[in-house]
Amino acid sequence: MKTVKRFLRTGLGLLGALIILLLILVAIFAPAIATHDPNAQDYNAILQEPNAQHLFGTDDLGRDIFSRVVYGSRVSIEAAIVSVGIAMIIGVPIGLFTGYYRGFWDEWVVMRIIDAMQAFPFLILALAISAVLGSGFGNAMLAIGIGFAPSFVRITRGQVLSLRNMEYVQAAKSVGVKDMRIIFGHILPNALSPIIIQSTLGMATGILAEASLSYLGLGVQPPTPSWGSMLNQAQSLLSVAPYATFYPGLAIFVVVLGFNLLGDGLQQFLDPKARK
Amino acid sequence: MFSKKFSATLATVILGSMVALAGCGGQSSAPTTPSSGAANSDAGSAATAGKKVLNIALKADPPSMDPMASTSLYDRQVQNSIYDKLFDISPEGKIVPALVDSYEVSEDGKTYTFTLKEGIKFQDGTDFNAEAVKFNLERDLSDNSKRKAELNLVDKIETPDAKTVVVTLKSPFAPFISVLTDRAGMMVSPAAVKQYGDDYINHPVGTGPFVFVEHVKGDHVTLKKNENYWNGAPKLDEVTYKVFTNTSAAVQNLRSGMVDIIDEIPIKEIPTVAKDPNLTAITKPNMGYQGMFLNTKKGPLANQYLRQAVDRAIDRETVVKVLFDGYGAPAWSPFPPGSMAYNEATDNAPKPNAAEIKELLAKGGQPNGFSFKLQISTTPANEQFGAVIQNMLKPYGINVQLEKVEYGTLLENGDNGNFEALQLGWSGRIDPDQNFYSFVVTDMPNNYAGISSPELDKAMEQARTELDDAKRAELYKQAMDALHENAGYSYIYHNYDKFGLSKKVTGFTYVPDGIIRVATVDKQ
Amino acid sequence: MLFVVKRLLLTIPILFLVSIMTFSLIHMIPGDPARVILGQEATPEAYQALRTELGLDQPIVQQYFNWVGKVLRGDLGMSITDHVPVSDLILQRLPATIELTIGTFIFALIIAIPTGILAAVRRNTWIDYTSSFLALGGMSIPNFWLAMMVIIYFTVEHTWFPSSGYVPFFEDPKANLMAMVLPCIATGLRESAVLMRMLRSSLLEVVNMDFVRTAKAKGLNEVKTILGHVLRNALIPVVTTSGLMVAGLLGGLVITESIFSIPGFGRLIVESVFKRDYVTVQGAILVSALLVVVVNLLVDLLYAVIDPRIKSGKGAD
Repeated sequence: MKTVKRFLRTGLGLLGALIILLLILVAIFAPAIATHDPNAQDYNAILQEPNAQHLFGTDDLGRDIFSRVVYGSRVSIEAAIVSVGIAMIIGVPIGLFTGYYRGFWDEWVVMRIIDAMQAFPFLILALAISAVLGSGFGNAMLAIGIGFAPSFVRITRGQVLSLRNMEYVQAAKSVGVKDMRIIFGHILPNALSPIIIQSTLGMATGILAEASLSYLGLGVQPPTPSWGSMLNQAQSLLSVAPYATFYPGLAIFVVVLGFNLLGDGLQQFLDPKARK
Repeated sequence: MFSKKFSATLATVILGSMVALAGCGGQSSAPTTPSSGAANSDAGSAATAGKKVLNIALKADPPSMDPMASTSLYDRQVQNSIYDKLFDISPEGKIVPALVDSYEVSEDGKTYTFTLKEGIKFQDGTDFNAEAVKFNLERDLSDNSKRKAELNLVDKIETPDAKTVVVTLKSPFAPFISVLTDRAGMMVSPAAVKQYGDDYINHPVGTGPFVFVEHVKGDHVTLKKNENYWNGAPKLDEVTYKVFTNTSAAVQNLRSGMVDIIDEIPIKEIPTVAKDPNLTAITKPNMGYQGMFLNTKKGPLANQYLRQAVDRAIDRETVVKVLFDGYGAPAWSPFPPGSMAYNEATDNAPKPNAAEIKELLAKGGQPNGFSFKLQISTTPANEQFGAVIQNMLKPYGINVQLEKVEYGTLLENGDNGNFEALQLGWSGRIDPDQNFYSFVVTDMPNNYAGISSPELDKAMEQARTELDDAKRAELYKQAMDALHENAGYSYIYHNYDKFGLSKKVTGFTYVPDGIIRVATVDKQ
Repeated sequence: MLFVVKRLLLTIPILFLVSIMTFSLIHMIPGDPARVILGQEATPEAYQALRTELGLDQPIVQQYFNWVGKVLRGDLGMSITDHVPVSDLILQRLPATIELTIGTFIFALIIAIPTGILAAVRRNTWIDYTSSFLALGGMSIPNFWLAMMVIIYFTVEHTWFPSSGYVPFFEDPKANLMAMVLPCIATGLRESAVLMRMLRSSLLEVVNMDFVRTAKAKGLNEVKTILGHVLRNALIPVVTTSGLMVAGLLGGLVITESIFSIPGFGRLIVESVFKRDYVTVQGAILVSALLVVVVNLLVDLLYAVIDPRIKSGKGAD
């Protein structure tokens, strides 16, 4: 019985990993999986309901929705990796250093900036930043990454704060090991697991945020298929062609769910506090 | 850990609350199921007992109630209910006097004498008279007026008596009267302008059939009936303009009866609206057009042959079919059928001819094709347009990179010439000059592409001062031929108005300027 | 007391930074507002005149101090495109957003409380796994997609609820509530999932506490124990979490309000961003950040009152 439960508990995490694996495979083998060129317009097949030829139907330019959803996976993976990557590159080092050295800069500058940034609702901040930078995928990623960085600072810093007083760190310090070595050699490896959990959950948020911005018309440039911009395009067809909104949204949902499941599973697995 | 008994109790509680919830849902939804919809529910009609309210859906918020400061089509919808104009446009598309009773033009075409209708009062009780007309025209000519360019040939305005206005122009200007059928001809109350100053924009007062009540920005504008309207009291008690940025939502509200008129039916829903026994779809060509500026000053399109290749490679029939299901008309000039300047030869683009396009590319030094960037604004409709153009040019090796920019940035880039190609159309005015001159004549403000063609300029200057329609039409043909040669602007389609009306609305007449006139409208 | 003072003092630099960020963010936007307002028909003179009028030709630092000075006096400036005070615009939009927020929480709690309790009571059973799976599902649904799906089902296929047509509550309560149903579902599902997870784990924490064991040892009936002791204690973190959810909720409303045509605060931000109404965007973003700062402050102070451990001053991080 115990093992069954344990399997069930980790099972959800495994399911998440499976979904993500599937997403990656779809993105890599998109040309083989897609039945049509995602950008090919067929003016004789406009707004067809799902059928044998077009599994998910066609949009208002006669493009194959299935193929566009398949290719859209590439944008989503990129969004997940790039946005979280940017957030980590900004957030983790800041968290490490401020947590280690503490003092004025930590208390009165960095943490207050983080507080201030977190006072802005995430999507509103991303919206404002990408409006500032102009629409486009790169800018949307930067906007999401910047909006997301504070949470990495907090997570990393929190870990460092509890690790810096550990015996082995104190010991290393007392024998004169350089700070850099302590930070990257001793503290960072031990602080990794919450960072990993955070990045998995962050990728879910990143994909959602990219889709939201694209949905608002601030994301990828046309005609690149992205799930969010497909929804933006299909929105006006809600009552005429509901299937055009159904599949791209379903794709976002499943993939975000995958990252959330994995993140949750990792949390159960890596974080002893959550393991009840 | 917990006992069975507890779980059972809990399950009952949860189930119970779900049933209760479902019950609530059922009860509250039942009365609205009939097609009459929530707006006509008991509560609604009790609050507005017996009042006839017409609800009109607009696609965007009208930013300005002041005709002098206005730059938006949506403004004009609301303004036409608050204000009367000196002249108006008839359902047949002809110019007819409105606040003006009659007028005369001097032999040299420079002096216009207007005799005004008498006994008309502004909604604030002050008199409409020659002084008011002079005040308005001078206000429209002031420095921060958006109407200045339309009236810049006005030299002086005199008022020999209370019902006569004499306007003298610096030079003959054929479109002058037609300018007065739009915002420059709207008469605002001088007393209200003096009272509110800069805040007049939020306290508009005209002579029109409806009086401004409130504007909740981004949501709605409410007007009430002008009991003393000079042209007979309106039949409606109130008109509300509601903003629906999502046109699909507007259609749903039209169906449910929440709104009575919508200013745009999405293309794909036109057939269902037309079939609906409770609704009417009005789809008519209006005076607007859509197309692309091709920059003649820099980038790959600075080469005239390459511009021509792009212009000739677009299959306008297909664009219209794909984007509009036929609710749009192919264009190769800004002048729609029905316009005085319309000419079949200059408005019908030849079908794309692969050999000709290859030749143009070769002459332009790019026999294997080339790439250019097309800036489009961010609405889904514009993206569709861009994607179709991109698709059409691809077979000739012309690679279009789409670049989405905000509308404001688009205008700015146009103004600075900071683009290779830029998609921007025009909502259209009744006089051909207003749809053409400023966009194509050398150094004019809207000539974003930097078009400079001596033949074109010469023909256009003549057309402005020519009062004979037939001769003017010939000049426009010459200008169009010159523009096709230059290809700094590629006209692609003429717009259609696509109004949706509830059958409860009576007395509505379509006017080709695309403005919904509510003075004579009634609601059953 | 020390904690309260420190917490209040911390708010000052945050507010200062928030103001700087708000101000500079909006001023980096490409696209000249004067150009946008004047539109396609502008003359160069009119353009220059408008720039002067808007103060856009002053140095940026000057513009910032002018702005902060006015904000401190409660003046958020005049909307560039609408010519009304931004504070009026925001006040006009707040009722709809507040109503939507309340409705969202009601919906979220109706879902979260029973499922949260059930998952905790039957923890490590299939009920628990199913509900945590569903909760993760709820957190993963893009709210704009959910909004479209409920519109398709409730408005297009069945005409049960309108997809738009907001009217103020006091004008027509019934039409108002009808129009609020779908938006509340679309925003509330995610919040309900978050709350449910929070409730479950906090219930489990409380159940293991001493006083619950004591109560049980005394032979108290289990239902009474749960409802009387456990739930009350477990709800405290849930309520405070709700407060902290305000920031996320405001972000979500940006989209929901746009889809359902609700004249709320979120839609004001989107509209103003697209209209390049710098002044309104500034004011609205500032107000949203202030709301979050104030709510966070209240939640922290509340927590300090409830949980004496924090008062020592350790809890500031």
